[in-house]
Amino acid sequence: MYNILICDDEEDIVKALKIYLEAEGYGTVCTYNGNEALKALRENDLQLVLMDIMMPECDGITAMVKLRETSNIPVILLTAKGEDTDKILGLNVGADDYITKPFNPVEVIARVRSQLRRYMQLGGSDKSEENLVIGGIELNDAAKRVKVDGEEINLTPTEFEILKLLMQNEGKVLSPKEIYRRVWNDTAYAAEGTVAVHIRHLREKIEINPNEPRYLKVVWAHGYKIEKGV
Amino acid sequence: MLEKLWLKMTAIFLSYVTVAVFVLSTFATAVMGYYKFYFSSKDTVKAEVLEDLAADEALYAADLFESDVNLTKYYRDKNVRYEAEDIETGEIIESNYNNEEYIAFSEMTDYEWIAREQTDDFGNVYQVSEPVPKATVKIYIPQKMEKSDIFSVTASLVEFGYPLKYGMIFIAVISLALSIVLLCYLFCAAGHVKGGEIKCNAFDKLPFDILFATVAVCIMLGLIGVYEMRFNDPLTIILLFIVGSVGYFLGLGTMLSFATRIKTGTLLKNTLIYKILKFLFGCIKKLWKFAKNVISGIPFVIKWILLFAAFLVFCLFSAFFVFFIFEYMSEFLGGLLICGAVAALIAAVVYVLVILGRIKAGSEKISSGDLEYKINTDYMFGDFKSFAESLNNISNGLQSNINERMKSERFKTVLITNVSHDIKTPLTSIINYVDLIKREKTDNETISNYVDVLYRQSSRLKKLVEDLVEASKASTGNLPVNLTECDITVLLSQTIAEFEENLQKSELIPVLNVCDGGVKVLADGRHLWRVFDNLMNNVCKYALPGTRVYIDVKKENGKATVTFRNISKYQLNISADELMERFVRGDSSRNTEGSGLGLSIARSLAELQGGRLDLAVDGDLFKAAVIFDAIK
Repeated sequence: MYNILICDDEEDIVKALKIYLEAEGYGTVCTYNGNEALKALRENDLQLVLMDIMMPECDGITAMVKLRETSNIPVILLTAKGEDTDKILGLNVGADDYITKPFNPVEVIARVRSQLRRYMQLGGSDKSEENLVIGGIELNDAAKRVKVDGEEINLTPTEFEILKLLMQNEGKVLSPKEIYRRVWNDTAYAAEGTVAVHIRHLREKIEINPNEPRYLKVVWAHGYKIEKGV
Repeated sequence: MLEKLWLKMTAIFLSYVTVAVFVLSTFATAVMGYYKFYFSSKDTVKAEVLEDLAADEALYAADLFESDVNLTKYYRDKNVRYEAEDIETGEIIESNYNNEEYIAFSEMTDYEWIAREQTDDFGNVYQVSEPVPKATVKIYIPQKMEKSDIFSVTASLVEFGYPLKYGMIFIAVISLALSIVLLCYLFCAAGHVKGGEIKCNAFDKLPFDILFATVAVCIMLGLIGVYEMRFNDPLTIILLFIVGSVGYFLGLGTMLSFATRIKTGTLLKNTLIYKILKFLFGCIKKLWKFAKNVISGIPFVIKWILLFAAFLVFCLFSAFFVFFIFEYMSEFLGGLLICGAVAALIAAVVYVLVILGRIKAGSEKISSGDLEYKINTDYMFGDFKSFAESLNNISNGLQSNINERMKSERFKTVLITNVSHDIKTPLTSIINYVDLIKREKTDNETISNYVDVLYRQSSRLKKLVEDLVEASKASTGNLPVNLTECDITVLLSQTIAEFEENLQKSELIPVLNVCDGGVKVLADGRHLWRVFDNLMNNVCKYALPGTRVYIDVKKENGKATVTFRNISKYQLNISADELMERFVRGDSSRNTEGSGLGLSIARSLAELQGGRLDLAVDGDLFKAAVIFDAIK
């Protein structure tokens, strides 16, 4: 059983999160500002932190910085602002993921589970040579298998080839035409649609929230890329 | 010391004395120098001086002798001995000279005019008279002078003056030095009154040019008057003395007044010429002002007609000169005049065109939105200048207006962002607890229906809040925009893929019509995606199920156009412009999901990237066109 620290100044939100997480079988510790969270972290055996950014006394960012001095526990930030700058700031100080308010409980649970899997299985995955690893994605070319956060995912052969191509070119933007040419081994003619649909399906399979992908990112009007990170 | 009146008066008097002494001693020195006092002995000087007098006397005596005046009687009371000798015979005609010792001697020949006849080359006879020497008049000044006359006075003057010849130079120098010191003091003290102030007295208040001219004329008249008199008259000397004194005081007073005026700075201002010039200048200024008022009062068109009329008159005038006056003098000059008139006209036209060009360029800049632009009003005048300045003022007014509006818009954006944050927090709780209620098993169907409504509406509220923030940011341009080369066909295929499921759900069939070759535009991919996203969302929400959705990509006249066409599910009884307004939706009842901000956001975002979003409604056909400048 994993213990999760919930930190938000809104008691109702904390309670709701507590209900969801306990329903999934996680233990919870509830705190209402950054200082309490840091104190709770020292006193309890915790595996994950869910923390709001805007809090009185000690806000989420400050607490993050202090927390990271001693611990590498996964942290998911809750943010109401949804501003790009807030997200980037949060990730830069060491958060592992973020969820914008108002959030979908199902998404919260999925992200919590994903982070916990990665955290607990860290170093446990087999890092053989034929394995391509980016973040939580592991691609075994020989076995034609793909694992996301340790969970096996079923991909069609085309989806697998596209994922492999993108993972081999980590961080590089590939245009639909190029993807088509290299995966289908054919000259692309009006192939953008085909590639786009396949990538859409692939994204739905490997991402928790396909509209806010962590790995497979759409570079609008240019193509696609896979990036390490959240 | 500069203020004491008695000191000044004393100084004036003393300076008068020293100047007089200086003048007299200098005069005496000059006279003594002339008679060689400094190079010869006393007797020689005396003899020479008396010889000069004797020469004068001889001339006079010859005259007297000629007029048969009895010389013995004439010279009875004078220290003069004379002798008249016939030239032809050498005998003495008249004499009172007894071979006494004499100091000075002079002689003069007396001529008699004898007439005789003469014949010129043409045989005309005429009379000429020529002088024939008759007698010699000799004048002796005796050593012993018993009588008092000019000779005895002169002799005693030489006797008296000779030992003083160096003393005179000394006196001249000393008096000069004293005069300079006194005058310097007087100039310094001029104008100083009690209390350390410098003030003009009544004398200083007279116009200086008048004063100066009067004094100068007085002195000149006095000098001329004295000059006209004979010098050896004692009356003359007195008159000279009086004229000199009066002239000195007048001159000194004028110079002191000059000094005072310089000190008070009234020298130039307190002159008649200055006053006259000032008056004239004032008159000209008033006239100019009047003319300006008259000109500005004339309506614009009439003013210019008058100007051209004046030019025409000038041309006619010059033509008149050329054909009637310069005809005989110089055709070249007349031609020059006409050329000058034409050149002036051309210059004026060019000037007007240049100014108009400047104003035109400026007004175009301003009307195209560059409110920072200021028309350069250098070298402009009159109507052009006021025209250009009005344009500049319009842009100023607009600029401040826009700044004000930008500020309030930005404030609104901040407000909306903050408010939406505050709304999101309770909304999170609502959504979560509604979800929790939904999870509770209940047999009461009414409650589960109600919860469904709550769930749906809270989700809508969430969407509304998100769209509100985005709309306010997009419309105020409060978003970072990174323009890059974007391939519209790629973006479109990505968009269609994203909406694959939605389209299927809405039973819509997309028909893509893409022109050959990629269509590239300069845009921010993420924002352009949001434009397409909003438009496609609209399509999915409002298109009639079972119809086709046409999406065309065209490249025409350097413009890339993406057109979305669909058949509306609802009757569109509002105009395209109204559809673009915030919170306006295709169905006026507002029962469907959606915030009513989609089209407004799409248009703001398109404009933010330099593009355009056009809407058209034709019956049930809804058409949205995204237009960007295409790049090769």
